[in-house]
Amino acid sequence: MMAIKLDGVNAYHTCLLKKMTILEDDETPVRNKLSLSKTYIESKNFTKETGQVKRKQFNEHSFPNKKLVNYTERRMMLNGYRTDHHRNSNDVINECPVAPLANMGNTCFLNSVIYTLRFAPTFLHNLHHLIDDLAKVNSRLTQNKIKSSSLGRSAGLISGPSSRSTSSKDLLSLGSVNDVSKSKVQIVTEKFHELFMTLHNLEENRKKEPNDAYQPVAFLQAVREANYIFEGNHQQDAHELLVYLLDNIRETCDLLAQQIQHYPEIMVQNEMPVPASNTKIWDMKRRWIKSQKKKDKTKDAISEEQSNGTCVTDTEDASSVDGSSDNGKKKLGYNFVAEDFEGITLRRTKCLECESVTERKEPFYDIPVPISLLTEEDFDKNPCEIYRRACVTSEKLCDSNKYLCEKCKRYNEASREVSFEKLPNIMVLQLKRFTTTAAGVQKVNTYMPTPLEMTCFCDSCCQTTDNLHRYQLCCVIMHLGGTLASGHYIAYVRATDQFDDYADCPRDVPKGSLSASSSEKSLNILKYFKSKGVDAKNGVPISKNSAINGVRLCKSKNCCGIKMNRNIVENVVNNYMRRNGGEVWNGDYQQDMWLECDDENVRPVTSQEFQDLLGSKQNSTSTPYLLFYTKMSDVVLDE
Amino acid sequence: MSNLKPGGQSGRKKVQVSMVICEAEERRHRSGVNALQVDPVLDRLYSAGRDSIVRVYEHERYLQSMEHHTDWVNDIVLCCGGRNLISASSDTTVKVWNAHKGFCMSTLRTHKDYVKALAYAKDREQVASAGLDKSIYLWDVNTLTALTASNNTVTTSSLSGNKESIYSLAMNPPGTIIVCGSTERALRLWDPRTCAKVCKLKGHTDNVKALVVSRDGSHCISGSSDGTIRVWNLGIQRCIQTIRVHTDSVWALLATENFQYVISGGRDKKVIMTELKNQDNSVVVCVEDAPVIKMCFTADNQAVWVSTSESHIRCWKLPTERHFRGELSMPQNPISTIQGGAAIKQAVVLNDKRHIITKDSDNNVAIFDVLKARKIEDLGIVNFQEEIKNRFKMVYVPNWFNVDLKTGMLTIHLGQDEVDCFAAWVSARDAGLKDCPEPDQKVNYGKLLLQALLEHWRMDTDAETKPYFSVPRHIPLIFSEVGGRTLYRVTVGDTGGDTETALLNETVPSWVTTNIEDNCSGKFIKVQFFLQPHSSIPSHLLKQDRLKKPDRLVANDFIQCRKVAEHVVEKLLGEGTAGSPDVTLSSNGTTVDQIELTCNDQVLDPAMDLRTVKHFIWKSSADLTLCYKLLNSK
Repeated sequence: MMAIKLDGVNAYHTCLLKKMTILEDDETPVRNKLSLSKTYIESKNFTKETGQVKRKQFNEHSFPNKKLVNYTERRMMLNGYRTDHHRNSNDVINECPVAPLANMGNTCFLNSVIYTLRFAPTFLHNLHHLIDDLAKVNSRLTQNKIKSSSLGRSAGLISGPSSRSTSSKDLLSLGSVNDVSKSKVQIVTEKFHELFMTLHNLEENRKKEPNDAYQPVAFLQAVREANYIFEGNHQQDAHELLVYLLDNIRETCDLLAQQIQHYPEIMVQNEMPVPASNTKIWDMKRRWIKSQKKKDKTKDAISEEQSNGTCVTDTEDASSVDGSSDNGKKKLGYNFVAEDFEGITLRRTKCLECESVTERKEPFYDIPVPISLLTEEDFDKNPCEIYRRACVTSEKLCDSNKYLCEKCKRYNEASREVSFEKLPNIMVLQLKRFTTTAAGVQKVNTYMPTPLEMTCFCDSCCQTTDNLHRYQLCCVIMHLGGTLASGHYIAYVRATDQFDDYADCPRDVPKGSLSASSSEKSLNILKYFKSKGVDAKNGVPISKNSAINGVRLCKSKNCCGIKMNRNIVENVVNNYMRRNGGEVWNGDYQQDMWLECDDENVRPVTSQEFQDLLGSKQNSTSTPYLLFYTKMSDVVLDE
Repeated sequence: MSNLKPGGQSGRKKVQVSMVICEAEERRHRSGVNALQVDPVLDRLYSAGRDSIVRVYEHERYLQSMEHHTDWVNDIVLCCGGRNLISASSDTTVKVWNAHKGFCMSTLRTHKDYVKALAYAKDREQVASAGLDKSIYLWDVNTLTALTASNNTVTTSSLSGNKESIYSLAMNPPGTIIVCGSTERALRLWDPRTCAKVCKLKGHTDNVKALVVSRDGSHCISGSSDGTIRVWNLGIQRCIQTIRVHTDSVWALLATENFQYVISGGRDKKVIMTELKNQDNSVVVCVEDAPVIKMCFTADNQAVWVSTSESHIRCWKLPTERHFRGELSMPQNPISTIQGGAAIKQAVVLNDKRHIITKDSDNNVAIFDVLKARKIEDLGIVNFQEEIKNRFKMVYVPNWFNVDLKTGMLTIHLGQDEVDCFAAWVSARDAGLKDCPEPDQKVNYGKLLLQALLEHWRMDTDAETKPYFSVPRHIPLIFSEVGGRTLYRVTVGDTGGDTETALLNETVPSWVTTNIEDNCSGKFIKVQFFLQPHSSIPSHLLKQDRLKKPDRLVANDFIQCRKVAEHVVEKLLGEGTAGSPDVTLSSNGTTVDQIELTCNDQVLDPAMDLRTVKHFIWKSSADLTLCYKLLNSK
């Protein structure tokens, strides 16, 4: 699967032949080379009025073999519902550890992605601050507009066209035209946040007024409006949606950043954003006129708002725990999607004639993993090795596929290696289960192991023997069924309410607080959590207060955070333990818990059960499809 | 298992026609030199160029060029005591030459990919060729030189077992052992007498690009892209020595007769002589200004000719015992130099799709005229980008050829695939045809050039189809499969010969013959467009209701805006709505000059053609929309 971004376009095509979700900007409006299997592209329209290329439409023929679903399967997977569950839906909702999402007819692809992103570490928290920043900038822009109409241009909302290449020119011209209407991109992001707020409120009030499963209608509507691909009531590819959503949010971040760039007067002193390290690559690709400006301005950027009255010391110490790229986190317009979800592939091509090497870097959201038939030998191997081998590849360009060497000015043989300069904090592996054959898109059900922990295969980890990074499985989207069009999606997420994601948030500093001593104190607590490593990551918060032992939790937790019904989870664990003759769970929670999110049915499962689910089964069409791994920091602070 | 392929994949690939824009005599190499051979008897040096030409120097002076290859010549061997030369090229052929007279005797088309290396067993007059098609063929030189047009079959034995692209090959003079180096990173050995496998030697960690075998076949030295030189004892099939004197890939090797010293050259631009018994004892022979590709001993074995990826060939004195002992320092300058020429490194086709601006390896900028197949202007060392900008003209002509710089010269490919060579129609005036009776007549660039290239082939052409242009007679004309092998090469001036005519009759593809004979007028490229009245035009002047969607119009892409304005006057304006009595304002009242056409709010020059409007003003692949309004005649 692949999503391609065209210049000034949100065009998402499914291309089953392509290797990677590469997000590209190019000057050419339509790239024929990348045009995909014909069934997917039915129309490409140029609308001169807007100067944009309309989004490529996916129409109903996208899944030509929809009708081919065999009868038994249809019974099982009718309309994306699983009809075989035995529970009464009302009970289920009361038993749900988190607010469940209802299937609105073929929307399990949507629900599974919502569940997944909700539980993806740091996602909710970062999304909240993005929305916060948007509101902040909007209100200031409005104020500013009133104050200084002498500027001669109206400061619009974050309202660029739904194009990524919003140049400053576009902003200028559209600022006045689209003054009121927000871009669809922004609306989707906002609706996404609203959805999480709703879910939070439902969880908050569940005791008082038990609710039915929530229908994310508004969000779906916004998505459909912004992207034709998702129109129509049929099953969609969850991967497609995931990539679209991430890109949408990234674009919102970009728009915000541009807005700030463009109207620096709205920023309070010392509030200029810092471009995240790897957004630079996008910038280069996009040839943003601004990127130069941006770099100049960011030199003296310091965190925090001054409007709060206190100047706060740069909390570098706390953030340096996670590494170097944290500088931008507290700034307005911090592009968290770029930081958390984007990795960089490095493609080295060496001409075998002149032996000069060209390197090309490309950002990506997910890594496609080809499904290979595993040999007996492979089963004995560390499953991580299978993934490493599938991702870090080398090939020889020869015969009729020679390489045009820039130096030799001719086609020569070449060797090409694909490796990963950087893997994202949240790494998404897409198992390439859908292949295009003459008979249409077919699913490969071959078993692939799903390791709970993955060794990192980025360049620096591959070069040394000791692994610098580790990855831990945090979410899995399973695909059930025989075809892309007829199947069902279930998400499995690690049960956590992400306590430490919210701890000591640099963006949420109450007025006049955080003296040097208190920040030190909180750092210690943070160290405590970090040192517990894996367990701390999904650790149960010790208390539900927003401050524990001096660790402050970001206020946003009470806006759109997850509020899990712990009792239900604990009961399940205890029952399981009892059934299996184990001790009753002592609340210490040494065991990882997972939630099975199957539309309105959310059910806790123990790690053991979960692993059984992932295990190899004969002829099973229930297969992991998207694997989400979160990067673990092994830096243990011992002091 | 049946191996049915869908679709009509008939065996023959599409054929393209190419020409090389070169001088009548190319005395200097245009690009790197891939191989060298010395004839000690006549004191001749043979050099195989990436510009497809093998050049011969006698007493270090240019003697002649051996031109028949159409791509890089990768290797040459001089055999039969200097009478014959055999060459291997990336055009996938091996050619046998009369070395003394410099003509090509025969062409072997057995290989399916670039032929990279040759090996020669002097005592048996046997030559082996190998390349990227992974195969090695053994040839009996005496059979090859006896080939004639009628006796044109040759048997060859091939060595089997190799699995990767071969980049180096060596045989010992008695022909008892043959070694190949490939991207497999191992050496493979055979006995050429029996074609039996001997062994495979592993040790290198990258491609093996240079090999030498000792006379008795007991030892072998290999140079690899891993930067090492390895010495192998073939008796025990082991690597006995690893020499690390280079800081980058080793691409060239020579060994002294007694295997006492090895001389190596490589990507680090150095030539180093190392004593094999004591590998710490090494002397840098020279430092070239480009990666060293090949070396060859001079007749007296006291010096080496060195060729690099640039066009100069230099002769460097080899160190003596005293140099090795450090009593003497090596000379800084070569004994002699054969000057090379400059290769074209960049080429940009100008908007008129007729002129090409180029920049060569000496930074000289020049302008070429494709139709005349010659350089028309030397601009010297000027700013290339600036010059391109200065020559920008707002004219759009479709692409009709591809440019290739692999030989360091301009090669123009004409075909019918992605770029249709008949796509460009221009008026005779724009094409600069002086003696054309009708300056507005449309001519086709591709057809003009093909006619000129094949001018001498069919002498029976009548005066009417006489080409307006002529190209120089020395221009090589190449017929090849698209992206593949060369079928035939001939110079324009030779196309009239009997043999050549016969061969051309077989080779010239039908798309060429049919098109240069017909007028190929059915092939005009069409532009679809809409005409919309400007709001200032009073409705009663419009024949059609302005609310109705205008009809889609189709015109040849070279139609000028003036013609469109005429159409507006004649067809869209004038009679007014039905029943309107105002007949006086009809077509005779409005003239073409009163019509102003705009596209994207830009006023169009009446002389501008539709494709230029579409490309430079409309800038979209959607159908063009033009707007018309009336200018006040006052």
